[in-house]
Amino acid sequence: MRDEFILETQRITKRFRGLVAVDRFNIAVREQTIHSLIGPNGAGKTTVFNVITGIYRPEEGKVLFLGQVLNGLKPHEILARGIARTFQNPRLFRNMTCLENVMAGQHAHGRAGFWSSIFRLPHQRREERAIRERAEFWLRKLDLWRFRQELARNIPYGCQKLLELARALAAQPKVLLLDEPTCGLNETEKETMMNFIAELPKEGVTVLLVEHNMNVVMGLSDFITVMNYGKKIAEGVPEEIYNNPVVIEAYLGRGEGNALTS
Amino acid sequence: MKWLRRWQGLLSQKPLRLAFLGLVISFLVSFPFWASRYWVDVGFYVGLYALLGLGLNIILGEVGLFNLGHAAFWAIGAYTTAILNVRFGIPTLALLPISAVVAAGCAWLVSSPIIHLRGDYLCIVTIALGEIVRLVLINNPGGLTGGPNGVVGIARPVFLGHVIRTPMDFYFLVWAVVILCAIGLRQLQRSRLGRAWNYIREDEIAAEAMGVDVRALKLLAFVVGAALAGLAGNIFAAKMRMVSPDSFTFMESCLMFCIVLLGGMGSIPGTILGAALVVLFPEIFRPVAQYRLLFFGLALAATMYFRPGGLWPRRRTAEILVGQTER
Repeated sequence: MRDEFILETQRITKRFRGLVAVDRFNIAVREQTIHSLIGPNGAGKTTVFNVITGIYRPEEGKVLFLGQVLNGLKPHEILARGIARTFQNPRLFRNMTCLENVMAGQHAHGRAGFWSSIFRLPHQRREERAIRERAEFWLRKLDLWRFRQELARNIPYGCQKLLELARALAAQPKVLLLDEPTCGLNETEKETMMNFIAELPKEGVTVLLVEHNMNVVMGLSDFITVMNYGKKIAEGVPEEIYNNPVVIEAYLGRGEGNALTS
Repeated sequence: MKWLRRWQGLLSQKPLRLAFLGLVISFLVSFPFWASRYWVDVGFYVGLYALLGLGLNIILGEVGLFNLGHAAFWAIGAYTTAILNVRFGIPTLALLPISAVVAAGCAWLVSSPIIHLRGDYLCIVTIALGEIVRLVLINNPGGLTGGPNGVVGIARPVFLGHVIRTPMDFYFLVWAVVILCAIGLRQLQRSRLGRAWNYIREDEIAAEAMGVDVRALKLLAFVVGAALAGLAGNIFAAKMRMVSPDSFTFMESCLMFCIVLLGGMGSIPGTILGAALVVLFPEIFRPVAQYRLLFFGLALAATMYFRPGGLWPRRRTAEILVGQTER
């Protein structure tokens, strides 16, 4: 764990007409950690992701990545800087093969242009081979090799989630944003996914995780930020969050009991 | 329809595919030597529409942008050839690449402001584009386009001292261009850019999130598609030796749309097959001429019902990528 913030948002605000989805929200992610962003439904977690990745433009505030401001960049430029993401419901290229899906991750790192592709110039061939080999590496690593020539829409749901992760990792990101990676998975698949995510910081990938499953969050996170109604309500290491009355109230309402033990 | 699928399965094996390609090429080459002039002319039109279809296939088939105004780029190519040849005496064949470049440039200009539109909205704007181009041609701006009469007296193309004049000459000209374009497009399909086009078609937001510059690649598709239509325009103008606005109606854009849908979106052999069907259909049903459109509509509906992916869709699962070894 290194003591530097790789990704930071400073007072970002995103409004949808009257609704303030994200309200002056700050989060600072340390390099090579797993940082979770949790909160009840509609708290604005996915909106934060969409602001960081450039899908939404914030009305106020700044997004900083490695000290540089990301505001105003388009999603594809942000990916090229080193932030990749997955979606809550897998957004795969459904009518393409799994191999082609993973190859997508490297599009931004490719150089070959129009004419060199038409004439298959030597540097274009070399690049294609490198793209394919890296894609194959991630397919093997996530145990999806048997599906490489299958269409993405034909593989089981759990494998689709893994495939989306493989696609994002093929982009060689420095920061990976995961939007509910275990949602809809069965227990075995959940375990595979968790074990895999736990390894990522060692490989130099910082993870920002949105997740509803508390076992996953408590098991994986180095640090947790809790948000509700677009605002940050608590922050800390898992043990602090686990016993934080504000967090319990946000999840269960006022009253007895611990929401997070379920 | 099972036989079609089995047939495609066979073609995914390399020796069989090469044999089939050889058969098709030898048929295409020998055709004008044993067919009548009339059928050679029909063969020319199959080639011409195949070229137009391949152009639209990039925009509609590869990227999934609904373009119902592709005839506009065809018209721009044809008028570029006609005007530059008749006014300035530039040889018709030399205008082949120039027409492509002019059509591509126009496509870049007109599609830049509308490229962010999606689905039906883009479709409506492209219909309008097609009509605007046709009406501009009719209104004879600056006395350039000759109004409703068009431009007449285009010189015959000359290839290495050989004047291209007979149906057979034109047949070979158009098919040579079609085959060169098909090879180029095949290479593109298997490249980073071709895949990126497909990523956009499958899921625009995911494509953008994975680093695809959606706007630039959509524009590229329009530019390349229009360039192919420009080539077709040049060959068409040279064949007819005149151009007039009647040739570039909305109906033509619809026909090209049908070619791509019928053949299979994003499939090169499918598009060529689609062009053959769309051109041959009225010829075959000439005896029942008054019901031709009825049959055409029925055939389209039947195809969409039985083979929604088109007659010859691209089979990705059977494709082996370049340099890939089976393990």
